[in-house]
Amino acid sequence: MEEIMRLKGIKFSRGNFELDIDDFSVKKGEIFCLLGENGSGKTTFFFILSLLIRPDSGEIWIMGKRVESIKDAGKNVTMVFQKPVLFSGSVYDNIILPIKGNKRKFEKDKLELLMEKFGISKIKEKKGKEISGGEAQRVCLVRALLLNPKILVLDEPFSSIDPISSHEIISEVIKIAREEGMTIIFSTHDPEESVHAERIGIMDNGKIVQIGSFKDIFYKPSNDRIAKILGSVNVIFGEIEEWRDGVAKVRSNGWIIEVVTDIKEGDVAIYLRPENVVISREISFSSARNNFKGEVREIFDKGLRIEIILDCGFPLISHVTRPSFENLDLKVGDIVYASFKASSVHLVRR
Amino acid sequence: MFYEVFQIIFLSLLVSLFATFLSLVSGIPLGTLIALKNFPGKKFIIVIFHTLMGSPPVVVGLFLTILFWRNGPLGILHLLYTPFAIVIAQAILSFPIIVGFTISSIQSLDPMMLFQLRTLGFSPLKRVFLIWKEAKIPLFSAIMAGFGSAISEVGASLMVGGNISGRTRIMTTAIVLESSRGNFEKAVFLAIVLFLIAFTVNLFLTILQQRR
Repeated sequence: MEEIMRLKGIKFSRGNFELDIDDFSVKKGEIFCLLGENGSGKTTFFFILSLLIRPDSGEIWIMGKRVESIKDAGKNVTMVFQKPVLFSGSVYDNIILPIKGNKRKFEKDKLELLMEKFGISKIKEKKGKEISGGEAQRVCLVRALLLNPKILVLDEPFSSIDPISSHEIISEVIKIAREEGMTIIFSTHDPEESVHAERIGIMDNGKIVQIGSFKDIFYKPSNDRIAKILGSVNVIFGEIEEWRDGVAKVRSNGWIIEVVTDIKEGDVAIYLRPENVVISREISFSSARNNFKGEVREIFDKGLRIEIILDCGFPLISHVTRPSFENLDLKVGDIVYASFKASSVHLVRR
Repeated sequence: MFYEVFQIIFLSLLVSLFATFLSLVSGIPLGTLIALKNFPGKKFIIVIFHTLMGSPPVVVGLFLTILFWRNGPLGILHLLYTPFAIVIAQAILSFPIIVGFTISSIQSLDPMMLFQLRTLGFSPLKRVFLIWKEAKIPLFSAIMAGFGSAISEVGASLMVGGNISGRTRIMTTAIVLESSRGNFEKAVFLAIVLFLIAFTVNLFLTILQQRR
């Protein structure tokens, strides 16, 4: 894949904050995720690569040409902000505003399809002030997608959308990007959302401290600090062996994990929130389809929740509430049963 | 008498509308520029305009009289005691009001709006028009305040216009003269007309402002 954007030696400082990007590039059609805590500099970095603010020093190259002036903002790169910005007029007026203003052509069918896909067809006549934050964010996404930019920059665009639909929306945005050959750079502080990217960069304190594939980042974080940013996550890689009635059997190192999904075959990554892993002393006969026997390896007191690291032949992290932890009376070395529902697992194609 | 009053009303309206127009076409772009650009001394400039919003008309009148005096710097223009001098005086008085209101109108908008317009690829000129559209309601208030200061002004108009019957007599200067002569009937009549004109102009502007 050819390179579409490159940043070299970017420096930008304001007050105590300093952004320092040595070398950063994305390829045409790539889906890149920038992961970092709040205040790590993701937004500032995105403003610079979207040509909305001028860095103190450094070079920006887009499609092989050096960008001389930030006057070119919006030409090839369009950014969707964390907080949606809507103008007066209806939702529909907002969506077609840049198309009309830039005298660009668009297909009405495509607009209708986008509005349908992002669930805003029903609210298109409403005023910007009358819709919810999540809806406003979808409107901003559709407005940007309709412009069909070479590079779409999304700054935590799913933060005001509820988690369940946020995954659907990311998948939808990525599907459209692939059809159009669009490059996507998005940021999030939620590691779960990064599973959709081909490459992930970790931003910490104004620097990109690690870049790699999902597997590289989650299995081999460069240091403890990065591991902390990634948080407690269960990521399991495997292959779909069988799919029937909406449930896939995923084989991973000899273990079978059942997952509710539409994906029917191929290599996949499983993401499982630690709070969805239930621990019991006896083997449970609940509705949970996935039951594993394991040994307690480590126990961490995290205040409201207790983190328990199990060895079930593969590492599994569980978060239990303090009362149930006291009920279970767990010690390191105990043998327990871990279970999770096939519907509490998030699965993505690798 | 009827002709004279009609002439006064007509001149008054013409002079004030023209003065408002001049301060609008210069004040709104300048106010927008000050609001949107970041430059050293920006706060100081804003304070200056806020101070000038309350300029005493007689001070402006004095300054212009000296400027336009026969031997003054702009004496060769022969502007003193002409309607143009009144236009200039009223425009100077309403200009800082328009600039000040425009600055706060634009600054009260979501600061991300400009970034949003840039990233959507709008040209600088289109960005400004869209920003004005978003600030329509407070900007119309700026226009109304500017017109209000022009039509109601008396001190500077009296000094640079001279209140010459049939040439530079406007409603406010006529009211001053008639009431000093004890012609209260005529003064009150002019005052009512002045109020009605102000009402009509503001009604028209308010309809435009509130139109969705």
